[in-house]
Amino acid sequence: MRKVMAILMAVILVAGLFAQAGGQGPSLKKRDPDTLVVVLTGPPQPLDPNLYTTLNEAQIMHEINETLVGMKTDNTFYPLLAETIPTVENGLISKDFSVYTFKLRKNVAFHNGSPFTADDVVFSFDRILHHPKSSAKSMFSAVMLVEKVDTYTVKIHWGKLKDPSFATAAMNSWADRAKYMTASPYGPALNILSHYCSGIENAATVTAAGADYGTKVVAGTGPYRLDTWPNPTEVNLTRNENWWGGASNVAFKNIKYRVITESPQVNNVLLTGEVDVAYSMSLLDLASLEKAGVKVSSQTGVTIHYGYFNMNSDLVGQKRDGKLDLSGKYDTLDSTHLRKAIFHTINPAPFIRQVDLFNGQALLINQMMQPGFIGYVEGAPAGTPFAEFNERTWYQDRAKARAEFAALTPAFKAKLTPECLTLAVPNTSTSVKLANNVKDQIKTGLGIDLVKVIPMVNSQIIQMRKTGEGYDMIVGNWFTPTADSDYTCLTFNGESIGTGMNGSLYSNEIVNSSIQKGRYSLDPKQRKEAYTAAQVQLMTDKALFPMVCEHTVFAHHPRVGNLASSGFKSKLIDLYRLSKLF
Amino acid sequence: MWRYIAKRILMLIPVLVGVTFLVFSLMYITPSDPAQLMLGANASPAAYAQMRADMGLDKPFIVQYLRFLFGYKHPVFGYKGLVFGDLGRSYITNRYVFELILSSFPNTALLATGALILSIALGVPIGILSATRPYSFIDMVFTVLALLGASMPTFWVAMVFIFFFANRLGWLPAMSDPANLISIILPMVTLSLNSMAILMRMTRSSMLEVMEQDYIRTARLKGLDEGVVIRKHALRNALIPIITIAGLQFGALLSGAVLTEKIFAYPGIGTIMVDAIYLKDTPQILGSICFVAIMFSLVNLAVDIMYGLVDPRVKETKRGPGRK
Repeated sequence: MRKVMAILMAVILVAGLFAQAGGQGPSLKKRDPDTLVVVLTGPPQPLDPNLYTTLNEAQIMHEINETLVGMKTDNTFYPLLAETIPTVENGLISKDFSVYTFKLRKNVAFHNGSPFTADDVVFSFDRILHHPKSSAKSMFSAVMLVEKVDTYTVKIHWGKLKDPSFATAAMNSWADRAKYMTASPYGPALNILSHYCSGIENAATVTAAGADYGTKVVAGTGPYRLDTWPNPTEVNLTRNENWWGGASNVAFKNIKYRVITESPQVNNVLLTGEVDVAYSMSLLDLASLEKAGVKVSSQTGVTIHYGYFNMNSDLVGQKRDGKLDLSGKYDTLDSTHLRKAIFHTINPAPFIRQVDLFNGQALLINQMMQPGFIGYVEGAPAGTPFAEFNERTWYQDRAKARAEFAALTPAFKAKLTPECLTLAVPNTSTSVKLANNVKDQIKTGLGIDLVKVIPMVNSQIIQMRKTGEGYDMIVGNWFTPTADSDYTCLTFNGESIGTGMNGSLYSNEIVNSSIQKGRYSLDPKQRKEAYTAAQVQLMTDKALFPMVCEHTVFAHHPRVGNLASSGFKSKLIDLYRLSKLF
Repeated sequence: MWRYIAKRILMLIPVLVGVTFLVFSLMYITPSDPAQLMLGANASPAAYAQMRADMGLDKPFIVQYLRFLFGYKHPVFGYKGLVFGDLGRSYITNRYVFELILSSFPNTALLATGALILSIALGVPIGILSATRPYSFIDMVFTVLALLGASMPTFWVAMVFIFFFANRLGWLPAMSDPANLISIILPMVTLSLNSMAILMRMTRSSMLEVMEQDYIRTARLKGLDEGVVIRKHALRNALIPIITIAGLQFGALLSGAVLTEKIFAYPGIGTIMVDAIYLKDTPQILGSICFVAIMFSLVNLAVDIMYGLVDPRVKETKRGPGRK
């Protein structure tokens, strides 16, 4: 028996020694050098870019389907399926800036061999705008008409609603758009045309495949085509040998996407070298990854985590006689005082340092606009609300909070029982932690535990945001996939009320008209002034409290070379551009 | 025997009706909105109402349940119903639910079968060894190991294994793929530890009980070899509870490999079930749970049939009194 125990101890000792000797860096043992393995955070939806928009399948579609134009990481554009970028100088933008002409590349074929023509462009935009399942309608709502000029030329007409209160989603055909819209320039035109949702699909293939399109049948023009999709957690692409850009420029022959939902496991497989690229690692352990030779890149992202007050709430809203109003006339309302009191208790600076939340991978943000976007207010201009905030305490100003709280009438104060304010939050780890932090800061700042945090499924929150019923506050996040200010403005544009995107039901004429100016102008200076004015007014009204802008963090194996995200600063990577360095 | 099997299969029907009703009721009261899920945030109220009507979500609970069982006709959302093996398409992936289940179940079956074989191959002999040397040092060592195996949480064991064998030693992959059998060693061992410990303890106690029977003493007095006594006389009689436990463990492994599959990113039915729950993909959740319930019931039936093969007395009982 002693022998057995001695052997057992020896085995444990040897294993321990091996364990100490490990951690020398990612291993490439037994890996297929021609296959790039990329981690997905969840099972992908159908690979049909015109209808589906979540990031899981976006990364895959980004390789399969191509857009008319692409966006570089510095937010400039390059031609993809279009031969050139339209400009006023080259005559491809009309004199009134409302019509863009695109000359299409010739000799481009879809993966199934069908030729790419103007019909496919018209068909794809028709699906985006008028298919009942399309989830990108609002993003492309300024498209008035996509017109085929000849086999290799299309014209995109931009416009705006004749009556701004009319719901864009109610337009179900090109005829509807002609009826309800009028020609207009559109500032973010190229941004949205480079968005993955406008990936061009083959009209005949999509029609023939019916409900199976996107799962069993997929056809794009991109550098990779769908090979197999054996189960929901694995998608395999293979190089498109007939790619117009030249198959020899595509570094890896195959891409394997694997769904790994647990972030610590993502770190593990990066460490072992079983995967090449991931963006859903545990932020707790980035140092270990770097120490082991995994490259980690972090850059300013386009996701804002923010909180907002429901303007329809009796406790923190701003309405009189049942009407919402932020004109400033009702500043003496009790609910306005309480909202401002709460606003001045919030300090998101510690949230960024919190190791189980952002662990340093985020920026403090005092406006809804992401850094680098047109209209992002730099610094703290005098005379604006931004001058009130400082890097240490941010919105938190206990004296102001107490003063606003003291201004409440006794009758209103009597309504403020513990947990009387409902703070709804999407049931995700980050959002729930943020919401609980906000609750604690309000409790500390005002001396009363006013907030009850209620985690909910996202679809329920969207429904509530449409009506403004059932909540006083929400903590959530907003991702701007177009990298243009116009899309961020959907969160506080009065015209978005009822769509589920403007969850605060905030509406201010100055803000709304500024957004209109920014949207329908091509002049960068004018756009900047307009969006800046919107930000200043928004933060004066204190209907929203932007907290942090989350970094986009990638990790990748050294063998794939230098990795940078594609345009949009989103979690998308131009994988075909990767170099294979052995 | 055939009548018994037929009877047991018929008994599955009320069990499955109960399971489907329970699962459907739970999904019904869960605060999620499939129509919103399908349409995304930008849908107009009219489109949303139309989608709810198309999906039959505006119908009363009982109508929705009957549609789930027997299907309904609709050009986009219609399906034949669970009874006819069709639950329509997943809300998230737009693929047929049963197609997804059938693509994942063989992977889970492979993992569960491997884990069970490992559990039996190690658990039963160690149990016998412990039983033949009761209260000895070796028995105590294995008792402690069995306690550890039964009490360590699967997810923790999985993470420790990944840390040592994948990250530190680099011997085995951290990510599993059914196409690469080496990669399923870690999840298989992880999954087997608990059942191995239970089988070990069950074999030990069952063997100890049998070893004290008069017929064992008689066999020894007849001068039979101790190995023959243990193999032919003791073990065969001790097998019934072991088979019961092994069967239950197999059923649990088929349905309960969820954590192990998730941690090792293994594409089994547990993974698609959990993903479906996260994403509120009602057809996929219902389909997966019903499928697992059916599998669990069938495994139990197979275990009952095996009793007869191991112990003829059970076969006699199943034939019924007075029938030869």
